[in-house]
Amino acid sequence: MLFEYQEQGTIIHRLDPRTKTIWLAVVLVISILLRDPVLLVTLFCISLMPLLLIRIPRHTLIVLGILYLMVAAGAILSQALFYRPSNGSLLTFVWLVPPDVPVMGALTGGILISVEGALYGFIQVFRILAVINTSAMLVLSTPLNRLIVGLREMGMPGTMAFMLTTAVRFVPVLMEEYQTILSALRARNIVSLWHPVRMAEQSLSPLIINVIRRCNQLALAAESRAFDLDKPRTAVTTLAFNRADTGCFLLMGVIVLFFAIGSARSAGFLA
Amino acid sequence: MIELDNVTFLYNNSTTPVLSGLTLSIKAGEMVLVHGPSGCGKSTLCMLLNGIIPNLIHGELTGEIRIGGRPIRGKETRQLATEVGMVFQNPDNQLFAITVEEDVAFGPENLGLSRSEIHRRVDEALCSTGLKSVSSRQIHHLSGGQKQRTAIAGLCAMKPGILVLDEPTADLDPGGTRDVIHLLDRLHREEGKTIVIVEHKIREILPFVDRVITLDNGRLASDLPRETTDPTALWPGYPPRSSSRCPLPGVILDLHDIHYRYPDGTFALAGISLAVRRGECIAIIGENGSGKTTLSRIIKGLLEPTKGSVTLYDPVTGFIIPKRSGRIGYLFQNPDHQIVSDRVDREIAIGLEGFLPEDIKRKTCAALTHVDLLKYKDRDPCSLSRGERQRLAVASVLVTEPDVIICDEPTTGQDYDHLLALMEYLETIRCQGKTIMIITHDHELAYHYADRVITLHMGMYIKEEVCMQCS
Repeated sequence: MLFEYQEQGTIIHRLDPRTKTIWLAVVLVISILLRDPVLLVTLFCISLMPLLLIRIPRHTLIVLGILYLMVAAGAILSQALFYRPSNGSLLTFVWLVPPDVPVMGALTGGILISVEGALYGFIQVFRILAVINTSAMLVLSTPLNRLIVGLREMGMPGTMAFMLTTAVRFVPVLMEEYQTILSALRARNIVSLWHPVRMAEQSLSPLIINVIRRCNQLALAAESRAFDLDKPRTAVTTLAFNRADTGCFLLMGVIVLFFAIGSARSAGFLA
Repeated sequence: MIELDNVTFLYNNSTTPVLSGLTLSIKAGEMVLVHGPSGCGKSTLCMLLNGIIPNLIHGELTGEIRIGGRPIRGKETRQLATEVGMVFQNPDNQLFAITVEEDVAFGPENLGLSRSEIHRRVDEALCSTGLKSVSSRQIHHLSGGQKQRTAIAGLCAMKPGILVLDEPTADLDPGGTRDVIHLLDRLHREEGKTIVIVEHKIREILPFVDRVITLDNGRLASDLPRETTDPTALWPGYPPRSSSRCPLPGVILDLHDIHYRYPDGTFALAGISLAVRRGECIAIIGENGSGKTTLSRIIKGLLEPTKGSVTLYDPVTGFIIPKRSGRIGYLFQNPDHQIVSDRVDREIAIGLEGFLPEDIKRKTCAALTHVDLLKYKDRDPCSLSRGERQRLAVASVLVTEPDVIICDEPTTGQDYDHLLALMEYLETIRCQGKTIMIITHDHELAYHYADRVITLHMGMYIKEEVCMQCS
């Protein structure tokens, strides 16, 4: 899979999954709270550093790049089209598609976009990309089993952690199964891109039926291996913070402080 | 010691008991093969031994089952887990964790053992199943045989005295089957495990068992030591072929210098050339990853070769058919991957789009009659047995009247009678001039039914054997 853990042995890989999960939560909260464009760009740059440190394979980097471009294009275009300032200030509109453009222009009567909206969208891109950077860093540098143990140790109930592990374990199995079903449909010449609803029904029905059968067998297998016995369950994989984690927490504190001061300044609370 | 005393079991919503008055005993340390046709109660027997029946799958149970001299009635499956370990057919449906090591630890973790004890048991189980070298591997990167060995290791770590295995090699290639059977033999000989195994691969398993129990219609048909068991009674072999089954003159399918390279750059096929005649039966054999399925998908048109060409000729005019996909039928290994409708007759009709309604009705009836499913035409395919679903898949492919039929692993999970019925049906349509290509691990089937057997190894054509001289 593309966004799968990549064994590299960098310092980021060695961090406790809980540290990285907390860093993701910190970035998420800061990105929501920040208003200042300069600070948002700074947050984006800071979030990019750990991602660059994990030595991402080239093909994953290309896909990430494409994802970034798509997010940027989507955010800028949607804001340029629909942005309406809450204070009612005037906007500068330009034609994206003038009315005299054949077909599109005639059909739509012309499409206008606002310059302020496009700029606002451009700033939002950094907000979104900071979160994507950190999520990608977490997923690419943490084995799933350790990530789930981390979530469990952060308070996730055991049965939910079991469900999550099983679901993650079955993602490649189900993807392979779906590919086989699509091949089977193509082999019978009953796949038609012109009928997307029918195609979805025909491809998803066997998948869902097989998933139900599989779930039933999994439940029997889990019972056969003493799952949910009337005894406390032992967790064999445990996590421990190390010095690098402590350093990271200190760094996180500094970063939070930096953005708190920066936001206060930009809002005029500090001189 | 396992003892069944006059056990009768009736599934809910069923009128006929699947097991009737079954009485048998299995001594500690014995390895027993349970054999019999589909529906004779083999899987029910397995599920009774670890309490899945009647705790999780309900029904009416009479008689008594004792494990180690103690009745198991009233005990839950999870409580029996340290006494009876159960291995299911599909390895993917019984592994929960992401890595091998974690999955083996899953059972001991559930038992609430100390961490040091879990580590010791996991280590022991990995060593005894030969999985130490792949302990940190992710499960979805393992082969089928390794997955099944992981399931067995997970049970060994819980230290049950009895292992019950319901067709554990059904989805495995010959290498995986051999590995699993040798592992069971070792656990039986060296660790003294009692093993109860349901298996259709009689020739592979028979040399290793102590006893063979045959069930028929839920009753004990025979219970014999291996030495007095006649292997031909369990696996009579394929019936003789008639001399009239010869290919007709004229090439229908021409493969020229086929190469295929996966997107990551690895070669799947290199320079495969093959000319197939009308009415010919060709078997393609080779271990997992040899390129059999890739080749068959290229022939069908599901994959485009990186280099080379596939040409299909019209059987009557001899002209090249430009769009070959519709003239080649493809029968997938698992029928559940290709059944898409909620009614048996609709499943057949779905491939007949463009025909007049009366033609659709006529062709559907004819196809269902051929596979003996007309009586179920209004039923939901999900309610049919696996053998019936496989026949439905065959009918849905054949109703489009393809010139070439490709069957991917037709033997998987089939008992002798159903397999024979399927092969006889394919033989019948071959006699009508259809060309059959069988992708299989079953060498006996390949050499018995095919006119030519092609062996692939690492994507290369290494051997062609002509099995039947045709005039």
